[in-house]
Amino acid sequence: MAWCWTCVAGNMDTQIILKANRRVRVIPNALTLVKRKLMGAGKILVSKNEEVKPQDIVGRSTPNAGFTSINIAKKLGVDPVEGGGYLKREIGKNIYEGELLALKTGFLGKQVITSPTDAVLEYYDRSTGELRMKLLSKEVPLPAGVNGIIEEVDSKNGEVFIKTLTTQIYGILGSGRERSGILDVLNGSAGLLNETKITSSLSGHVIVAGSIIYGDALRKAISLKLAGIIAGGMHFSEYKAIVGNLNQKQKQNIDIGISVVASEGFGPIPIGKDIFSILEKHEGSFVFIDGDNAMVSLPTATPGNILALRKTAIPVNTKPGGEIAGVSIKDITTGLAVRIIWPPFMGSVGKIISIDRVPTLLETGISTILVTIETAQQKLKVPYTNIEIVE
Amino acid sequence: MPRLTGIFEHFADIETISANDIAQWIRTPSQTTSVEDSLGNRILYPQTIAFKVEDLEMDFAILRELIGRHPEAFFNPLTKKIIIGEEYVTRFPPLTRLVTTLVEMLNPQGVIQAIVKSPSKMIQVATVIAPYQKAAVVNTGVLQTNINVMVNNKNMVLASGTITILPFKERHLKVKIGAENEILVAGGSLGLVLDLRSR
Repeated sequence: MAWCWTCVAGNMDTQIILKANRRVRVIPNALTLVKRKLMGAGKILVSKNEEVKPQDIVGRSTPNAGFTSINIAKKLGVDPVEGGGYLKREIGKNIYEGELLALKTGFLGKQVITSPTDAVLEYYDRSTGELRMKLLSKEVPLPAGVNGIIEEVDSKNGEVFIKTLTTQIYGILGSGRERSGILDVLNGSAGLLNETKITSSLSGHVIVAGSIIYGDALRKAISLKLAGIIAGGMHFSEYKAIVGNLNQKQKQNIDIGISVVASEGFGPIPIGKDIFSILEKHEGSFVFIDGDNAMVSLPTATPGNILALRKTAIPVNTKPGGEIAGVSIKDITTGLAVRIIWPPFMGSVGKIISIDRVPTLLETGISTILVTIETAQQKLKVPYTNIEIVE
Repeated sequence: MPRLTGIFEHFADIETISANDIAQWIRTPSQTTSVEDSLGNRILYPQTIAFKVEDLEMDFAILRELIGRHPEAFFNPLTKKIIIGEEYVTRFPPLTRLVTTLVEMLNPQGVIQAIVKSPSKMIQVATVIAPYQKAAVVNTGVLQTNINVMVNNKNMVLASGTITILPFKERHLKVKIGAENEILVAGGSLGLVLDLRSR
């Protein structure tokens, strides 16, 4: 375990070697194994070594749609024992949305109940007046989502593994299993997401929320069945409520119904430009988000890459999505791309243009070497301890 | 893979410290969520240093809580030594405040040496004197607000209930506090730390 020294104020002629953590944030065009899984019972339609495009259907499934119930007796204002007599479709038969389900005529006119959805009439309870309806399953196609080559087919588990190229983005923390969906950028990198922007039209999508994922926005996104949220930060208390422990080895990988990735840390922090620019470029694309590994995969393979893909073998024991990018120690030199990991300017990304030769006494009384970083907008001087190398 | 770490990473239970526990030590505490987020980032990025004064206030507040939870990491009651790692001196300036914080939170009694430890050496920076008996420094039946202290025949009056640092570098100091017996102690770069709080 290496210590970080705050000050080495020695001989000015002596070259001081300063170190910082290097964290891989972006791996462009990485050879990746992408997993596509059927939802429920179904059939895989492709075979090994087949070429696929994003819109190709690799499988079909009919997931269990569930049940619903209507209290016929209450709606018609009759005794539960009598309610079943007003049904216009027999138990065990199909009915479709909008069709006549029950009808009662009387002195005051007609009372009509139509079916709210496509279903099978399963059972009428004469003691409560409830009609139980089993929702009709709809066949769900599974698109490939990427240009690639089928590497492996697991029919038993309903899984297809596709060899492809992706740009992999690694955040700092996250939660949730692997999911996929169309990417929507709802905010600038530093924006605050108004939860009114989260609508049912985003169901199944992955959104970029801006500087923070708020608890209320997260809950709404879960209820509307979004696939994932990417933001600069999230609140420490909310993250701990999900994962239990910050320690990666003790973290509980509990899936709360959505995958989240925070790219910078805790609290509202702008998404670093190194990551945000890539997300912007891929808006509208089909992407993969793995919250438990704080990773987002953005497919980059084109039909033109397929020949190269065919010639390249996936290393043995490669997991879907690739290995987690780690953190290592590197010498600080001018010209390196870095990000600032402590206030002020936390989240800013730029290049080191100079390293002071003598320490500076900060207002805190700590004496340390400052580095000058040039971002797109300005030059910043920060302690060398408060940066991470990103290249 | 090895990576740069920091002082707080030694303490596995740091994330269990509540925002309220931290906020009680900060003069103008931010909202609870801001305090929690700062603590979370401190855990994520342990190698960073406090750039602004409010950052240092937060770090000192966390340190106080950690001293309270893990006194054994800083004080050996058998040898009566407060051991301060060199990295703490650079991270928590000035030394006077760091030593005062340690004395406040550890609440040792008697005569204790405060030592800064580096990889190659140990340097005594102060002797802490915390009289055992409140009665020894008060008049019978009457609580004194001021206490007479004599160091090498220099007489001074100090307020009770305080922790005071007297800059004496000499190796041999004769110290007499109130009605206590005179004792012989060593000074240091910081000097004498007199803990005259009530017990």
